[in-house]
Amino acid sequence: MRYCLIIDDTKQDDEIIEIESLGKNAAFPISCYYFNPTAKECLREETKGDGTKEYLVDLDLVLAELRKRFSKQQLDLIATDYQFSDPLITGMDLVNYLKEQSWKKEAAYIIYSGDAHEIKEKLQSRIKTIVDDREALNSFIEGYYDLNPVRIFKRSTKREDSHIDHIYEFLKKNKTPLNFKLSQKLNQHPERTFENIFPRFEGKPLKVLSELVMRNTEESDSFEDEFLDRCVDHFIELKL
Amino acid sequence: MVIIHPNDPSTRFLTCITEELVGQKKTEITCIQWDLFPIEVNLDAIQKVDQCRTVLYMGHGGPEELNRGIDTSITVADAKRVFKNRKVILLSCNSADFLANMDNCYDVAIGFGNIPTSMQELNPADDLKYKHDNYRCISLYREGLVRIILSSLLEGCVVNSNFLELYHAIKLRINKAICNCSLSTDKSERLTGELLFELKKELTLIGNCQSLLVE
Repeated sequence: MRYCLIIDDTKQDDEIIEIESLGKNAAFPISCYYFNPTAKECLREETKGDGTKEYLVDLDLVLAELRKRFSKQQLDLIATDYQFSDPLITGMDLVNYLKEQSWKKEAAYIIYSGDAHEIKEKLQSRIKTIVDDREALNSFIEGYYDLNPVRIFKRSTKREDSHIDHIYEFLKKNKTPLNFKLSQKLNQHPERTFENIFPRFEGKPLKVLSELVMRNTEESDSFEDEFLDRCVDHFIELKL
Repeated sequence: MVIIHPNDPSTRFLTCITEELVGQKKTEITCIQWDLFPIEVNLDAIQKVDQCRTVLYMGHGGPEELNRGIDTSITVADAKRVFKNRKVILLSCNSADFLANMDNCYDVAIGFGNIPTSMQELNPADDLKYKHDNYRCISLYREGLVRIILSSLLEGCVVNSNFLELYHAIKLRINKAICNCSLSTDKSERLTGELLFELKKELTLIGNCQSLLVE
């Protein structure tokens, strides 16, 4: 089963039905969730110069709400629209922020937009300013995916080129690494402790192990190797 | 297969491995009595064994020696002479270190780390940990060890395993035993699981792992 979260300020009921249906027909089950970053729980009130009130998307509140609803949910893909009703925040800002906060860093982030060309133009402009600075360019390339989406798709009003197909195709083509799944699974019971016989890790909260398997360290390798070793052998039937 | 199991009361619990292996019909088993003869006779007996036969040693040992009986042993230098180009399984304490000292002279070998089969073999820190219920975990560990090694060897003989498959079979059985211990609320069984975990951690396979256990 693949799990996808769609972040958009317009309802995605039909789109979700369609993606899940595509998955079902292909024997590739997909389960989709929806989140609206402009819902009232995500807005902060501000008073304008003329005394009127306005409500703006607050990224901290968005993150708090996402954590509340999806912290224990495995997600393979987070797809967000670029434009929201709040002109001060874009989907790119949201992705940058969520990745900076390491929220669901094991999931892939993509952006879809009717103005995908505009996003790419901004990216192009940014690269132009640093292309002659080798260090800056190298740093930009190396760090790009740390804070940015892995794909930017054009969203068309035509069904044959809609973001639904892009989301579906992305899920089909990109396999979630096993340690990502393990991390999310461990985080389903963050406060429970690891009580199996593995002295180095016995007694540790699962949320600690969830973070551990996302790191590239000897400790992480040691845990994963033993975990896989035991799991696979557990399922083998011995005749002798 | 050739089995060397020196006569020592403290390793008598391993006798059933010899008995069961001799009892199976698929593989020819020869037992060499080490403790009855002078050392040169012992070493000569092994050298006369066909090179393609696996040598299984079961007894006390350390990084620098393998016991021949009570108070006698063979050294690394002796072992290098007789185990040269041979297939070897050393079921003895710290045999992995012993093998490491042999400069890879063997064809393939399986060795172990510390195997505490009696309370006398525990260091002070481990003694404190494992003394629960009169060291019951040590006797459970001994039983588990025999079961694991015997089953793996028997299976290896029947299905004609190579050393890599034998190594994986031993680890598989250790993992299953650890899982069972993990599910137990009995403290002695959990301690047994910890001992088995250490056994698995220090289990070593070196050399040509495609060599067959039985030719």
